Amino acid sequence: MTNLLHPYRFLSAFLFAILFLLTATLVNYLYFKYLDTTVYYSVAQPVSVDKPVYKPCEDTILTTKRTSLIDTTADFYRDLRLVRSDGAQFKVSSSESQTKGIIKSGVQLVSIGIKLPCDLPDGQYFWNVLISYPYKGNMKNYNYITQTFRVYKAGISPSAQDAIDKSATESAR
Amino acid sequence: MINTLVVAIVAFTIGYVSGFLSSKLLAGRAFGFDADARINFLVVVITLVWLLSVVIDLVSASYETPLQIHLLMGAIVGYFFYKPPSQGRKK
Repeated sequence: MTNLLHPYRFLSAFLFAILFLLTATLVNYLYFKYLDTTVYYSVAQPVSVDKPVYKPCEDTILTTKRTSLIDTTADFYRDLRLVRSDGAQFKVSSSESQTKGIIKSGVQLVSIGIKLPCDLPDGQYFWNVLISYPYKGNMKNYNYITQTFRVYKAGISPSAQDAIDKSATESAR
Repeated sequence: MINTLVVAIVAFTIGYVSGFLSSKLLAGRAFGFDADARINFLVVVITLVWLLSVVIDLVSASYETPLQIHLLMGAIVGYFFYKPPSQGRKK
């Protein structure tokens, strides 16, 4: 019994327990922070949207084929990007949103609806989604974008509107 | 936080008592090896298993060694690392 209660032996066991714990934690932390390049969560890009043209306030339905190697929880940060005719992109600040979600490992086809802001001017847009999830003590990020789509107040493109107007005029004659 | 601390203390205690019980079980002479040789062998095996668990943590996406296991294995190795003078000279 004296062996069990020997103070130096107890100290030695305590120090080794702490050493094993800290070494394992540190090796894990450093490896996954600086060396690990595995993508644990990915999405087939660009993500498809259900329609090429929307009205402001309308729901855009995104269908994502996502692959996850792990079960985890994640934060989804979404924002809408306006694409100008010269290719420049601008973030629409009123469209930013954050949601939390649970990710199951495996391949899944997921459809989500995201509402467009109601004060959106006409133009070409796409959704930009940043996913942030914890993995073994570190936060990992993954970014995906959707196909571009157009937003018109009337809900149809001006050329389609012209065609409708023309046909209506012709049938009225 | 408190729960983690309690679990850590329990894991350490189990490891420490396991070291003590192993020393009693391995005492004496068997298979042509003395107690020290068998204890050293046990320490090497536990250390290798611990190293393996650290490596598996890195290569396996879905596996994570619980912290209690690290504490437990560290406590057993630490128990045997210090040899009181009377026991250290014993053959």
